[in-house]
Amino acid sequence: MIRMRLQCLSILLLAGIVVGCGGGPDYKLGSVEGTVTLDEKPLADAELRFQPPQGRSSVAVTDQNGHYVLDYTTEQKGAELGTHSVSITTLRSASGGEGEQPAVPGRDELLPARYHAKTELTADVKQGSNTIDFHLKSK
Amino acid sequence: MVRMSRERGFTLIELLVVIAIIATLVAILLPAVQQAREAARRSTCKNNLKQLGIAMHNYHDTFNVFPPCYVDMRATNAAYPDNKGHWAWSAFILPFMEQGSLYDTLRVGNLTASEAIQANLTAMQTPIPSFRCPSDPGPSVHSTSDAPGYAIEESTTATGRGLPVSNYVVANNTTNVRQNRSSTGTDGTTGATGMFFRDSNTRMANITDGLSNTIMIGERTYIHGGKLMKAGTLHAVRNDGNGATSYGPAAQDSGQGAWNHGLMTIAFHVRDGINPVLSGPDTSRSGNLSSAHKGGAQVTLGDGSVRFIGENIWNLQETAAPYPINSTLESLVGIRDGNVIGEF
Repeated sequence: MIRMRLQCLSILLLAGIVVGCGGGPDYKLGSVEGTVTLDEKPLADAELRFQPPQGRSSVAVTDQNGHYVLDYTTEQKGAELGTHSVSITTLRSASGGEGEQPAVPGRDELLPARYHAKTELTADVKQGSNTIDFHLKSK
Repeated sequence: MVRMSRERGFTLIELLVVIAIIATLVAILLPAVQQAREAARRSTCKNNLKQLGIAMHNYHDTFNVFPPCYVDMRATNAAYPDNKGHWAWSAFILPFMEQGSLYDTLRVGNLTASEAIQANLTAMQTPIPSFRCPSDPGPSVHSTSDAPGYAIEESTTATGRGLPVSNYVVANNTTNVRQNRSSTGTDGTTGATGMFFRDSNTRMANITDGLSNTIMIGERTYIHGGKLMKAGTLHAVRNDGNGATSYGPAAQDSGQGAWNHGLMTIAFHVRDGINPVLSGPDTSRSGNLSSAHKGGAQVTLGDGSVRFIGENIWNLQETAAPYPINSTLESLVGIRDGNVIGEF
């Protein structure tokens, strides 16, 4: 009986070791969402990019209410911790229109360069959930 | 008697413990089997990339230069018509991939790609397993309705014909794909900073950063994050533009923004990193690398070795000019940026 119990115990221990060996990713993310407004009206279909000084950038597109949720990868939401340089653009080039592809019309830039090409926007992403709103002015 | 029966049988507790152990082991093993299947597919993909690397090196041994990304037909025919095909790098390495008979049947270089697809539709549309990642769920030949930019027209008719799907694309640039070679080698908006571009004739000697520090080929999936990324094409790339104002596969050069055809169907850039988040099909992000393997994508380096690169690799993209090569992923694509690359 004791021998059998020992065998059982050792099998359980082995199983525990096997299960416990899965390593997760070693970077840390904070979830980020917020609202983008232009001249106090919600800005739809604007593309945001959060670029950390080192690492992978996070992106998002605003919905009809100007609300956005940052994506880090297709499976993970959020952004790397730390200070990010943020660029927001509404520029989009036309695509599609052939075969069964829907034609997506191009769109001009609605925002001044200080929000995208020469961006002055920054954001601090902390552990946990962050709400970061951007109130942009066209002039 | 009572004592005898006790020694022969098991108690209920003992049976339950054994059943519980078996159940635990099965529960551990079942997901592991799925993992093992994916691991096997990933190593097949890795082997494909290795074979492509060897084929590239054998091509270099023969011609003392890597194959061109594509051969621009407008050099001999200035008004090369819209939607016709230019031969791409994958066609030129066919004889080095044990596909010599296909190469001879298609008469690569004697016929144009559009003449070849008209003359030998079946041969031209035959998928080649060495160009497919087994984890990728895409079709074997591009559909002309889903992906017209990944098809070419026959030479004397306007019939569009889909090209076979390839999961492997060559390194072109650190910003959006560009046709011509970068004048500086360090700014992707002046042209391609990577190994392959229009009529490229890159030699090993031109890769001054070192073959072990430069990406040659990478992978792209057909479906990424539930959105069509459309992988790449085999053999050819579609011409863009109309008649005399034809631009070649210039769709992504400055001022030519249209993201669903052109050079990005045979080459990649890293502007949005590996495994980018797609907001929809046919966006600028479809030209990046992606894979069906978790956490990154596999690449062939210039020395022929295959590496898995994690998707959270450092990639710094500026928002205004200049766009220097100043992060790990960009330095891996640039052939003469002179940056020291740490661990990746």
